[in-house]
Amino acid sequence: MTRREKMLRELERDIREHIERETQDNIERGMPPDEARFAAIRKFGNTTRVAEDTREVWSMVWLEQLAQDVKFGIRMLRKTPGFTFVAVLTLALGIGANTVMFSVINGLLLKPLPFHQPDRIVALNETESSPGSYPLSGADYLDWQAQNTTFAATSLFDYGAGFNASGDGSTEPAGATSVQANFFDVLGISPILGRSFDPGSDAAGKNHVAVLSYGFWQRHFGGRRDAVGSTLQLNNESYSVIGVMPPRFDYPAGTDLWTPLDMSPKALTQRGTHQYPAIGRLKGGVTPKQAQADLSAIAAGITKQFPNTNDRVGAVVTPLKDVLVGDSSTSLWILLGAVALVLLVACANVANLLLARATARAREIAMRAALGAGRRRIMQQSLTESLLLSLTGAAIGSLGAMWIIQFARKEFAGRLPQAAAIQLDGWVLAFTAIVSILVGIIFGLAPAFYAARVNLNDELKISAGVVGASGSRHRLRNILVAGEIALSLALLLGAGLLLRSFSNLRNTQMGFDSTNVLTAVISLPEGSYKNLEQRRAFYDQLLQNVKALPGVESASVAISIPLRGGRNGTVSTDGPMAPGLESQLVEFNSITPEFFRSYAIPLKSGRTFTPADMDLTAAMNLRADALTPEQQQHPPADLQFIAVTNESMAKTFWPGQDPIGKVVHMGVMNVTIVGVVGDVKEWDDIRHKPLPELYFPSTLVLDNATPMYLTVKSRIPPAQLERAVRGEVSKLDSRLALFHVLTMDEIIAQSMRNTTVETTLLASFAALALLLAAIGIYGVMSYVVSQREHEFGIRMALGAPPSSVSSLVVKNGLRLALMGVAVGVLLAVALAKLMTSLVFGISVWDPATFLAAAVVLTSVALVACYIPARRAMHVDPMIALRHE
Amino acid sequence: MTTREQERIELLQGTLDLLILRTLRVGPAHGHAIARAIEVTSDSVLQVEQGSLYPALHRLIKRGWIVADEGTSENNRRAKYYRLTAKGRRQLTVETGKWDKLAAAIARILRPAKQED
Repeated sequence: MTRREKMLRELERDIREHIERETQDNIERGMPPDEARFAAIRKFGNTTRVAEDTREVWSMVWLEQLAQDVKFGIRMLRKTPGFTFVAVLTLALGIGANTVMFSVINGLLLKPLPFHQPDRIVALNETESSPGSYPLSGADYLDWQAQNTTFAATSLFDYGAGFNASGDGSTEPAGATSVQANFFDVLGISPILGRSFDPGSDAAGKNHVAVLSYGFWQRHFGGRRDAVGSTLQLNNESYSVIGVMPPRFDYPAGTDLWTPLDMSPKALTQRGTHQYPAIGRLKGGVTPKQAQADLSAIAAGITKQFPNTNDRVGAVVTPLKDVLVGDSSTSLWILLGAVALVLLVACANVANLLLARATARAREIAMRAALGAGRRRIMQQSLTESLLLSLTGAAIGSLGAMWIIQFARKEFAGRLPQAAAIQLDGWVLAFTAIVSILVGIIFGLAPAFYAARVNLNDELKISAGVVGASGSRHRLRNILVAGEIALSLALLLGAGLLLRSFSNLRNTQMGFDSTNVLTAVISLPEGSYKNLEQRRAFYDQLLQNVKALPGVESASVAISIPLRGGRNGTVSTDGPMAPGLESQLVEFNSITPEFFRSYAIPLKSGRTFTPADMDLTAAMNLRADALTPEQQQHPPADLQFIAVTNESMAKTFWPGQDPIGKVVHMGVMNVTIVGVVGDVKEWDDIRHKPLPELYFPSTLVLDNATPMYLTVKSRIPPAQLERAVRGEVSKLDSRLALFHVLTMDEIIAQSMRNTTVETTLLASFAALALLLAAIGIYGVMSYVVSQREHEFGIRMALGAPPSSVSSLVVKNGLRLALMGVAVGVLLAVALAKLMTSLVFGISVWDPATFLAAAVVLTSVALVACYIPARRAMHVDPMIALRHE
Repeated sequence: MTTREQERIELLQGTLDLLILRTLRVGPAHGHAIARAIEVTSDSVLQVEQGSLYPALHRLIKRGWIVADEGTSENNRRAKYYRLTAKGRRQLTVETGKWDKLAAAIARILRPAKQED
């Protein structure tokens, strides 16, 4: 019970006591009891009024007034449903868009990663002399793991591979990541069912156990608890399922199941071959910087020991979150900024509507002031109405946001492990609440001040029909509209820059033709396809069968395809090398002869591969595999391989010379260049320039059970071919599944996904702002026309042609628009720099884009003026004059 | 109406608060006792409609200048005793000072002639 309740509850008793005491005193003074009581009551006064006065001491006046204001506000808003609808809708769009953007930022950037003590988890990489980070070599990692003093634990894993998973009959693709046994402990996540890997399970031969992701468990095992302990066929080999991870655990993103990585030094890659990502958990109190210094020192030691492979190979320690969030953080903040600008435009619009309404309500306000309402009270009432609008808008906007947030979550699911954290949670709701209150105050202040300044005398004297607008109020509305236009211009310019970048990316020379190209990944189980010959036989047969399908032009198998590369290393040439060349990354690919035809990559000089090259490389490869360690140090001179290079490599390594016949050395391999083809974009980043590249016959890699890309070029749309190709694969081996079946156009679209999303969002924000600005300028010009109807009537009665009246209105509007555009250009120049990392092939101060944005905005403003201008032209002088 | 009653003075608003605080400085008292004390010490010149004491008491409690304790009175009846808090004691000093200034100012305005005499 509060003090207030207690005091008031006892008040009656206290009063009774008081009167009794007074009565007693009176009796003691000699009064007769009746009279004594009467005197006491008279002396006390009106008990009811005393009780009321006391209650008022405690009453929360402001709360009662608020309730009153809210009730009145709701009544006023219901009386003008059109205004309320437009205002609430505008605010719902503005606030809802902000809610969505903030929930994405909150989920991806602000919340900690869904791991135990996530700020102690770092990503480990190696670097070569050029800045950037590369995967680790297995041998280097083992040294790091053994020698470091700053990590509680480190864990190596691989980039994951597609497996053919079958438990009960049907085969489905499963993305599997092989991890060091302590992987889940480093992240600090335990399975919800079963157990994770035992310490020894990453030793050779013991790794046939699997931990399932929650999604795969649901999909493949129907969420049955007895899945743990059952057997799963992965690439025709039996794995026992030992555990299931929690639903939200998705690292590396998109993983269906985890198996132990064979950590024996023999199984891991040698120095110089970089192929594994790794994470580490810092010891308590160790900063990433200290860990970096620790690993750098170890790496320097390795360099001394193995100068051939580890020259200039250093360590890179990055907080895991920075790696995961990466580039998206800039664009997300920019988009949040953009959506905040949209909200400001919405505020300006609603403020304008409210000002117009305040004018119409001037008499009502004056009346209330005349009846004794104080300024504060009137402002309070006005602000209550604004807040009612903004909170209603926020409520509706949040409902819409809830719906859209699901799409945002799906957009990032499988790409970022923290995607599940994109939710309309308490933080987002708090953000929305604060934003809507701020917004309510921002757009409510102008009308509130205006309301508080209404001049009683003037307003009440003016006849009801003519409501005068003071000059300052008019100026305020003009400023609001010009401001809207300025903000819209900034948004429009941002959208324009991204649209241009998008089209630049689209039109980038990729170096290949993506038309009617279908790609898929095939992973041959090691148990059934044991060696190079068996694998080669399978692929040769598959290519032959696929090529026989109707509509197929060519088919090939390769370890990488354009935009899906990333296998690279360094090479050396005979004789002195130009500075920087020994550390120049060279992209490696291994292909079957029709690869260049399938992608229409032009042959510039020399030749491409023949079936005989396939045989020769196969034979050399087997010989190289059989070398003893001593022979590896001094490889026999007749280990001759051949390769086709690209123009970029020819220009970089042999400027001004004919690259045909030149030799490069890679480990034990001596490689002779036999041809030069055109450059393609190798990496999943269209902004990246093509690297020097070497293409080898596919038989160079078929001694390993590496997943390979199948490429089918057809004369018919590739979607029609997918079933037939799948059919050919399962005809050869029914236990094989096809992974990542995608057309090349889809792969390009995926590479552009970020730019596409950014462009779409910013363009829709700009469109929204443009629409709001148009409504704003229309509103103001309509108001101007209605205000000056009388004046226009007089002008026309005196002989002014209607067109001069309409041009007066248009000029007025145009002046506003141009003022806004001028300010907007200044604003845009200031903000454009933020866009630097998002644009491609265009300057952020591109004059053409600036001009286009200004022209679009001015045209829209002109159109918005046109309707009121026409109305001004059709003012009937008689009616306008009689109006007075 | 008796002459005596005509001489009574209506209290200035807020003065009642000061009088209550002053009364309680001596020690805790219940509502009736406070009313009696004000009446007696002012020689019954100040007219306090006893009921108006209660909104004032509640106001002072709300401001934290006094608190109400439950206690037993002389004749073994339950009664509410009002007691000055440390904050109230400070406030009393402030209010008394203000009052003295006000009284002196008013006195100077009303009796300037006395000084000329």
